[in-house]
Amino acid sequence: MSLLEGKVAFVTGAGGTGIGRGSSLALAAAGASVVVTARRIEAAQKTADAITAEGGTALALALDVSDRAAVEKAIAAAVDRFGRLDILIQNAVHGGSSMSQAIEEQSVDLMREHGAVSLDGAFYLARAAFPHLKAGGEGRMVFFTSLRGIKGSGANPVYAAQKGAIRGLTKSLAREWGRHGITVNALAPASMSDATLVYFEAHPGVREMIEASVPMRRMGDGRADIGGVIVALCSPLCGYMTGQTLFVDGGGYTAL
Amino acid sequence: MERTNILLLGIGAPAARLADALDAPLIDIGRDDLKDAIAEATRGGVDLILFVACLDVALHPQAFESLGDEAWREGVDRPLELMLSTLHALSALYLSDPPPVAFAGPSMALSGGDGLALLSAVAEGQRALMKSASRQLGKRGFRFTWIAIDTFLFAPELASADLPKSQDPDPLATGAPADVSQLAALLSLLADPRAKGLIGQSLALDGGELMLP
Repeated sequence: MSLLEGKVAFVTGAGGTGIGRGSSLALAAAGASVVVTARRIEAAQKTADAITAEGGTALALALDVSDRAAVEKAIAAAVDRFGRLDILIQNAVHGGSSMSQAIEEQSVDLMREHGAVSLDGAFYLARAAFPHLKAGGEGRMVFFTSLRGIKGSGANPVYAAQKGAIRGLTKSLAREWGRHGITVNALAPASMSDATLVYFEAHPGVREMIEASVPMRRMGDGRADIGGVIVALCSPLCGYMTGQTLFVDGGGYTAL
Repeated sequence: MERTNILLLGIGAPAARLADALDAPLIDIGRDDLKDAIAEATRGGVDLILFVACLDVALHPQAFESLGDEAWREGVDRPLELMLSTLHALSALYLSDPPPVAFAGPSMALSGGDGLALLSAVAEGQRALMKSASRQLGKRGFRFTWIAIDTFLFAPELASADLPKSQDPDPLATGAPADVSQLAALLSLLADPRAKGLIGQSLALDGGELMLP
């Protein structure tokens, strides 16, 4: 039997080429039915089609996670379609979140715009998913954070602050929801994605610099490297691990 | 020992209490003329700026599923935005020789707490922003640090909260929780120019309980 047979997963930001899509494909390959969400339905459908082509089960939904009503509707649609919800993966970030800017140029309006996705979206999703995660008795919530949320970032202070806040949210939710059998963890990946591609194009030489600094000497793959850890975290194998930040970065950060 | 001149920038009950305890003037960071107000308050010189932004909604344990949108916005989004606008004001005001700035939050935020999602989220967000600001503004002489203050010293409101319990029967290395005199002493150390190599760091003033990894 597959690790996640009978489980239902809900993945946000899953329409691109990166860790949302990779996680969705990995979860489906492990036996989970996957609700694939993205801002554009075409993008979500593309990932869902790839899952179906591999023999998996998927439902594509358009979702802007900064819209509370839309989040609640999407969670309800997932439960309506599959009868339960066991796994929530929050990967959605604002499209411009990886662009470098001086702190003086990062306005409060920009922070609010990005936070509507990264922070408010995480809040809406966790709150809407909670009763369903609790009902299953082995719920799994995974947030994507970033090394920048731990070390800070001279290139992108707002992104770092919001990823740091996600770590704080992770720790408290883990303490609050553990009694219900729900684990809550944050994952700090170093992986190719739409956002990293944009960043690398804007900053020539950065990819090579990062890869040279990583013991594994390469960027991670959304499905094989990040998705694999997501599957393990969401399986019964990791039912006692909660409140943690996991670095899936080829050994790039080892300071803890 | 000479008195350390501290200016407190902040909002919320912990900021007001710490200003009283440290006998430091407090500027409300929500005001529109923040930069001018800081300029006016520091005209005679200041040794250190202490920043504390924690709104009351974050200090009352509440089940996550019962949190409303406004509580999230007030508890997490707004204090982060106020910290960013304060950094803008400081950056614009101090083109050279800025005073050291210590940001502070409760020590429990490093561990999280049952019913305290707002508090840990905003504190960890502020801590990451402090590190980013250090990386970006450190070359201009800005020296930022984070102080994780003993939770009950920071927020006595949390006395009845279900905080993370130590697995050590004798959790405090010093045998007693931190008090305000220890905070004042730490701020004096941070204000000392000889501490200029200390930047972007998190210091737990908690009687030696957490001992961060």
